[in-house]
Amino acid sequence: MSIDPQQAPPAEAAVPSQDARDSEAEIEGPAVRASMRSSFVGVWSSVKLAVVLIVLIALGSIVGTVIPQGEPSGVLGISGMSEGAKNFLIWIRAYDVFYSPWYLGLLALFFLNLAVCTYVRVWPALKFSLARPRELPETLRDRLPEQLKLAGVSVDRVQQLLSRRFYRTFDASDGGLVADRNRWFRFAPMVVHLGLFLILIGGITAGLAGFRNSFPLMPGDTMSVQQAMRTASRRGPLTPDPGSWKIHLDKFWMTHYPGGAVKQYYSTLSVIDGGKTLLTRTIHVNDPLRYKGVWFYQSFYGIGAERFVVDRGIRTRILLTHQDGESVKLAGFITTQFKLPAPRGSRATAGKRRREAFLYTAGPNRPFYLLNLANMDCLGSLAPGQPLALDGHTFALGPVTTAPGVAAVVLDVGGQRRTLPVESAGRFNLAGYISREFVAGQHQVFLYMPDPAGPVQIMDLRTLAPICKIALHESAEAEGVAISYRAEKTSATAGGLAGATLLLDGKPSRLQVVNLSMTGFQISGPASDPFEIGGKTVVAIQNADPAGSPLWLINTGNQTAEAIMDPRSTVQIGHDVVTYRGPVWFSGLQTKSDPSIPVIYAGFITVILGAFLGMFSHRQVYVARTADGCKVAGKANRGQYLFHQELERMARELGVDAGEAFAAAEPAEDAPEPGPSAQISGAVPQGEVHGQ
Amino acid sequence: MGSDFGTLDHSSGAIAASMHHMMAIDQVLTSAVLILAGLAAVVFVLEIVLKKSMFGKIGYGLMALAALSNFGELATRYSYMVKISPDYWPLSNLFESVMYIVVAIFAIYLVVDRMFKAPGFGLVSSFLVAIIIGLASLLPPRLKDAHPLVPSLQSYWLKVHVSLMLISYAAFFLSFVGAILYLFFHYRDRLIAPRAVGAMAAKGAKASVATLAMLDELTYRMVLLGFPLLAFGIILGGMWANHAWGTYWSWDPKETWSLITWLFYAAYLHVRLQREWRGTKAAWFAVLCFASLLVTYLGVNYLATGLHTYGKLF
Repeated sequence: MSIDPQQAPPAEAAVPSQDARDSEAEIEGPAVRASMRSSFVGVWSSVKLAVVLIVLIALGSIVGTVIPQGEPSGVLGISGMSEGAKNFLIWIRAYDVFYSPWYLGLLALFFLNLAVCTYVRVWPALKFSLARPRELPETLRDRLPEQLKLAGVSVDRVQQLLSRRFYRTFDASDGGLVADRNRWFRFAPMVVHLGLFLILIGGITAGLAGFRNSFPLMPGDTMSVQQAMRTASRRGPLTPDPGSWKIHLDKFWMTHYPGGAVKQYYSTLSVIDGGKTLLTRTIHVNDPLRYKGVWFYQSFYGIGAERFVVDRGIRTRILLTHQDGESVKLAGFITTQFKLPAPRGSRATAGKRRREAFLYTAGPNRPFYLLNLANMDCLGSLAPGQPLALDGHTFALGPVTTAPGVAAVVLDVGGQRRTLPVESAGRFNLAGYISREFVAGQHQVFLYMPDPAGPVQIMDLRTLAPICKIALHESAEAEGVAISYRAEKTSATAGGLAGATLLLDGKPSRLQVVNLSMTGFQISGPASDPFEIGGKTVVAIQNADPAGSPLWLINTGNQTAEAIMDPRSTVQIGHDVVTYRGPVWFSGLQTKSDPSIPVIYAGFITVILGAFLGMFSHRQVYVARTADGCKVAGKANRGQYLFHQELERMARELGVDAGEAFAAAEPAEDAPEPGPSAQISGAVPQGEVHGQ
Repeated sequence: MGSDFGTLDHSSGAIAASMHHMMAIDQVLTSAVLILAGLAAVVFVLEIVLKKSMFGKIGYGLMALAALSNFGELATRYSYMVKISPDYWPLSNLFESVMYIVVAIFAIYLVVDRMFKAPGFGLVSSFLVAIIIGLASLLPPRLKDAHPLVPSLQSYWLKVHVSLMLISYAAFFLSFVGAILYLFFHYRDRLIAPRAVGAMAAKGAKASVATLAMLDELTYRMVLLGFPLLAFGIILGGMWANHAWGTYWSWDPKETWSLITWLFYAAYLHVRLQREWRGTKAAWFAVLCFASLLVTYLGVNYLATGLHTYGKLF
């Protein structure tokens, strides 16, 4: 398989003219013996097969960029595709194309083809290149695409000119010349093929004898390299033991741009072997550490822990063990959203859209938090008598109305305990409360409570007809299911909020309050395991974009926010005064050992070199002595046009009119046409067929 | 910066002012490239209509001026941004990458046009480049304004890797121009010329055979130029990835598509080994290869997100 047309065996040049084949064979020497054509070698050295395989690999790769890669669930998630098509895609492993048997099989066939193609062509090409250029009989010379007659020019002068233009020239037996340039550039395609093979060998080596892993490391922590190898996601069966040394993270930090975006992050790593620090170095993205063939790359970062100081002196570090992010459904109350006023004294944001915000509170007599609707970032807290100053405005809390409301009811339906959120029945023009619907027997039903202290009615959702009435702590049968009404209120939200007044720069505005048990309101982010603080069990959760954002402490007992804390803020939780000192970042390190690097890099360099060498054209020139001067014939393997230009320049330098020189060599009108590749002289190969 | 603007100190206010200044200069230079390329297209049309070679020379000069303006545009961005972010290189968004490709197109064009006197080459190149710049200047500001580079891109590797990729795109663009010109002349002669020119057809058709051969070689040579550049670019990307995060290749859609494009061009080079595939079929194949290049450059952003997503158009 070669980019060079003349090294393609005649069998592949589908039905070339007899003349073309003769001249090819004559110029190039025998490329592939005829007996090979139908054999194994003949089939596997076919350029047609190579093109088909290349195109199939390309098309297969396209599948891998269109279908989400990884798990079969990626295929199932595609919308607007029939089940049959999805099953087919799963069957062909379209979710993992690049490791599927058919894709690897295509690659194997491609490399087999590549190997045979290159092997079959490399020896004839080598023999051809090492030998002195072969002389051509006149009949074949006349069929070359470039023909010109140089009247009054001696062969010697042509020879001098060719030498000056870096042609190798040899005297021909008939007194003429054989010359060529860039002969070795014919090997360029084979060099590319060799490089591809080196890359293949390197890839296989890496798979067999290397490992790759990534892990987070907290400042002060240590990772043993053997541990990193044992837990590696990819580890070859022949991977050598890396030794007993360890890597220690001394320090992790980042730098920022003025706007706040992360500029770069750094880890200072120490290599520790037998208790001794052998090496300390700071790495950052694009600048890894290498020790004993194992590389450590700065790869990612995150918040690994939160620091607290409780009362005076007791420092605690809480690990955020759930890095992938936990979601916590919150209880409590939120108000309807409202637009924040534009910051005062700043023209810069005048044109920007104003931010939207809302208030959150865990319950009556608890502070209200002002939250940014877009990213759930906490902008500050409000309590009666404790206004919040923000962007040059003052936010204060006005009267808060409470309702002796019902937030949810607890039911036992057919032995299953369920808590149903309850909302005001006002939208049915009724006084009292209704619950979310639930299934009893064959029907969807809901509860209606005209009076929180009285009995509940079970209503059919479709007909709105009452089915039965149950008093507190009693049971009844509805739709064949025994239902008992055990409790009427959940403790956390008993006595809910109905509305709040917000005074913005002294102007009051009324906000409606929604009980969160009705909504899917939740926060999510890296979270800690539950821990005790101020006598309460809480989890810490980093909700918004981590950089310097507040930390939510969620009481796991009632799912309400115990506090939303900015770094370096202090709050009283239970009987403890708690100071949040801010996050502790971890450094995400990628590590690998890869013995194939020299081979792969050699392959890379070889491919690049070969591909660049392929730009050059092998030019062949035959000069014959004639009665009035000499006759030049020639060809080039990368297109004739630029070669023709060179011959024109040469003719001019020899003092011959180029147009005349080419025209003189043109066959007379009535002369018998020798063959397609020799029909047209000069730069004009016939139609789409280049006589190269 | 947005909502946090009020909290910024004086130095960043000064940066914002100088950024504003820079974007104004940038706007002027971009318009200059657009106008010069458009003018060149008009002049090349005059050359064909009036059959005066002088217009061809003027067009060539206008292309050279457009190249200078384009270079100036990128240099302006660089000289301002490098003060904010020392690792900056004008490749931080889609618009900058377009201008980078176009300056390479100009540079290669200016050389190739002197080697191949291909009819219509200047016209089609300048016309398409003007359209590309016109579309690029319609991009929303988030895809146009210069940004500091994110940490993973702050590297010498970026400059070399992305530059090589984009220069290869420029070479492939010119191969595409060669291919569509080839197809234009081929089908014009096939479908129109014999009937319209009648007795003159023999001479006209013969001139076209030379033209077609030249355009075929131009296309081929541009692929031969783009092919090693693309190989070099892809490989440097792999070496960079290995250096930055320890893996050469991760089948990211952009990586995969650049490999697909390279494979398509490899297939182009191999089908040309068969004589009957040169000429028209090869030209169509070059157009197909260029389509896959467009997917690599623009389409991939819609397939998935990854390191290589510089911004979606819509």
